[in-house]
Amino acid sequence: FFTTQPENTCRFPYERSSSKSLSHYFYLIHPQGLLSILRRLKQSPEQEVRLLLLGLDNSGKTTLLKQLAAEDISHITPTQGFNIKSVQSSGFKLNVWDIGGQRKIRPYWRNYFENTDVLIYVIDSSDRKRFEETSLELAELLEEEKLAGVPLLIFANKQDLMTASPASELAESLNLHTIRDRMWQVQACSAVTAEGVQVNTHSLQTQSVNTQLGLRQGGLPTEWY
Amino acid sequence: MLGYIWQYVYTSFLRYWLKWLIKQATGTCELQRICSGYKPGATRTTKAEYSLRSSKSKVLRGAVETDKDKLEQCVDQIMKVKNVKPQKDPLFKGSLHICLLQITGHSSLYVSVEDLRKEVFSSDNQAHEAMLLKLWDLLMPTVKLESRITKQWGDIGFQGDDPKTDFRGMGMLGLINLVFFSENYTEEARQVLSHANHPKLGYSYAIVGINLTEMAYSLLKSGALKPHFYNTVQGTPELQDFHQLYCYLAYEFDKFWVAEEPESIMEFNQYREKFHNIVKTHLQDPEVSLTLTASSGNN
Repeated sequence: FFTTQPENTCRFPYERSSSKSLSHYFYLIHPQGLLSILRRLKQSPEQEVRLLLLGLDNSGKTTLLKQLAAEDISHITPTQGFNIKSVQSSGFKLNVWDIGGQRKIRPYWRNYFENTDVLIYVIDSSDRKRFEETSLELAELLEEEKLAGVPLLIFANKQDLMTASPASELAESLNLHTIRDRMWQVQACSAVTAEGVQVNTHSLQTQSVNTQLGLRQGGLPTEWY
Repeated sequence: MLGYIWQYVYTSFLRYWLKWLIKQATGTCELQRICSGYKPGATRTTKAEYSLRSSKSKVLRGAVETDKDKLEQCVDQIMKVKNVKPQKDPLFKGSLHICLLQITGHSSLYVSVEDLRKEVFSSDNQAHEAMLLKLWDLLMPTVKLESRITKQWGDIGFQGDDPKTDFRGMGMLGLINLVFFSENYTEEARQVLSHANHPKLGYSYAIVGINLTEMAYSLLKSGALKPHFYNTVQGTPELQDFHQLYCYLAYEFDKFWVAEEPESIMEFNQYREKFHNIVKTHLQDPEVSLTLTASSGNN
């Protein structure tokens, strides 16, 4: 599933026409996180990448996980505990950890921080009532020492729903522009239709490859801020 | 490799010659021998199912997909094709009829279960809402629900303030199972809930319930539950038989969880898998019958 178009990860068919372009909300940050991926990739020949999926309950983490693993998504139930899947793809082994999002088990999130290469934070873009809650949880995560400098990928999920907020609006209401200590990116997607999901994983991989090949000097990958 | 060749040769030629030989010698067809040779239950019905499905005769192969109300005619046709005389084997007709009710019933049960699973819980549907509130009243008879959207739902193991998002891929099937268990095994359900609310060993009652509905559903879909239903229902299995199986899983999983004393809820999937394997092992036994038998004096 990595063979889809690599370009233009920030554009998305569901993106509402907004007066400001999405890039308006992105701020250029230090490429520390990517460098740390680089170091790890160089050390391990099998190129393992640890992706950590977090977010509130019902944001779509498990659907995303199954979509990445090309599994059936029609029988998903709420996650008790966590799910893990390893996805092999063009020399990369993506170890994807999907941790349950209900309030009761959020205290356990910290047990899974160690050695995370990329933090993927999933948000139900149609659940405006919980934007504040999800924003607070994200803010807390970014304070975590063990996640310091870890690149952050925010999935503005459920763009297939009519009621979904566009990624730009979400970025604004969550004050994402205040994130300055790591590379981050917001991506409109629909885990159910897989739209925006594959492209992004591809970009992730392309980044790693580029970085590994020393292409970083040619400028920061455009998708990361 | 040799095994495959043997299997091919056997199923394509040898089986028919053997059957023909035995028929000449004993004067009975394979179905008759199955029906008279095994007592009612999984072994008999499974063998009959295999015999029918691999038959050369269209009538026999078609029998496993016949509507319930046409089955009697179908049995008559089979007896005609196979030249079975009712006077000689008076029990055959009834036995085969039951086998066919079980075999076709399993397929129609799956269809009904799938329909319920696909029915999405909707707050606009009064019946759905009423059922959700009923679940609360059955499990928490002494506590009043303060409002429809409330943190209290967490007390019976839903994730957030509104249970509607928790049914997900199991739809109404998940809710109906939860209500069925609470309604028909109220004592047991409350006992399980109290275990689930244990501060250390606890888990989310409703969420785990929905997860176990998924287990029951996928076991049914894969055909793994056939022996259980063939043993426990001498006729067409109905939806309530499926709900009964869910009750067994909910009760037994709780017992298993409590006995295993997992470190935390984060271990859930690991123990779920272990439990799943135990259930699948039970289902390998031709005598299997997964029915809830509450241990007395435990409440």
